[in-house]
Amino acid sequence: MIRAILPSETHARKAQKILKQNGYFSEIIRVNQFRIGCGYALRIAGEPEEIQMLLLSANIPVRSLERERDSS
Amino acid sequence: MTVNFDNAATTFPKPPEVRLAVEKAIAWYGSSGRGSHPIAARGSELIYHAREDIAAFFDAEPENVVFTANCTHALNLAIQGIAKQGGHVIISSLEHNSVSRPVYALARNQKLQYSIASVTASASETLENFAKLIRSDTIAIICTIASNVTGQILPFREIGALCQEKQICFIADGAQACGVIPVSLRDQINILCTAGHKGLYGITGTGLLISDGKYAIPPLMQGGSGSMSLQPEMPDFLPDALEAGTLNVIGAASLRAGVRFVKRKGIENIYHTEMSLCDRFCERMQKLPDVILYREAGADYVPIVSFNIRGRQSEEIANQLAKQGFCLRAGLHCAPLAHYALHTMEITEGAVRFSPSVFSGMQETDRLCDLIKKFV
Repeated sequence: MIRAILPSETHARKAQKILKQNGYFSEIIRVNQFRIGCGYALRIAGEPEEIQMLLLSANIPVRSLERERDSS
Repeated sequence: MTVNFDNAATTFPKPPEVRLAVEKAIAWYGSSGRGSHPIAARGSELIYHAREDIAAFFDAEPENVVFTANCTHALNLAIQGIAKQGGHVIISSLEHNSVSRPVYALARNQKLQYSIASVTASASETLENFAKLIRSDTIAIICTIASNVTGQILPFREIGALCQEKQICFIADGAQACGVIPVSLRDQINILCTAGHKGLYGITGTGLLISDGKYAIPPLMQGGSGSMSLQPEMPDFLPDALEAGTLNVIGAASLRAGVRFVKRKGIENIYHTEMSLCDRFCERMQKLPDVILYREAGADYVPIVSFNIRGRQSEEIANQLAKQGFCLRAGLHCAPLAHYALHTMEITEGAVRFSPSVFSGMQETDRLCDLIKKFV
């Protein structure tokens, strides 16, 4: 799973809609960011490069985008 | 029976779908942006959908739609935010106190200088009056799209183009225009401020600031935003930067329903319905020699008509009409600049304002005219 950290819930919901239009289903989660505090992230199944490209082309500021660590 | 012709203050009644949206919001939504549990998530989803619908209506981006308590709140955010850099602004001679008072307060504290552009019946002359006041330190034009006293529409698209050409900010007050005439950020408005409870048919306690994102607006209030909580400052991105504290979720639900109502009805239909009542009102009033109508040939209007009866105080007329069930607003309408420009102060210190909504009817308009005829 990919985790994309976004500045606000509004950005997260906008990003979710854009990804859905491009065939990616995602889940919005609240996260606590180190030294920043409350924030929002999207959990998405897909390739990080393509997801980043889609979000950037929609002018959505992505704070970070990384693969989640396997918790198993 | 009470008939409301004071819709320029607040539209009443509200459409049935707005009432239903409010009922549902009370029963269903919690706060927004404050958690991931189901009640908060439902609230957040509603707020986002409201931003989306409003953004689409004004050709904006959802994240640039800021919910405010009213249009005055939105205008204060915009004016005081833009004025942080100092400089000079231009307002019109028809401004409401929601524009003139914040500008005056900043000027009194020597944070801003201002000039007043005279609005005439000629759009080109009005535009020229704005253009000739632009100085090298002018940072913005702040003006109403349509006067809340006369209903006169300013050449706002041309003013937007002028601001674009001169690279200055255009802050537009859409309180009397939004929902009645087409208004869009494509009209080169940088920051559109409007009420939610007038032509957009939301409940009182709702307003909007809609930005094109070009000009940064520092917050007036600091507090919880549900984001970046460890930082001592407010977030620097919209909408969070300007939405400190819990949002009016019920108000946003009503405003979303109101905007959808306006879209479904069609702005042109709404305009024609209301203007036909204003035209009838004017036609009948023009036959009464002692009635003064504040309308000028060559100017364009939203559905608002102000009038006076010679020798009578405006408040006295409104009180007499109210006794017969007709609700019209008299006095200065919080717009003394406009009344000075119209010279009503020399007659009755104000005027009586007729402002229908899409729910107003021709029969009621005729009954009102019959009643006024008896006063003359």
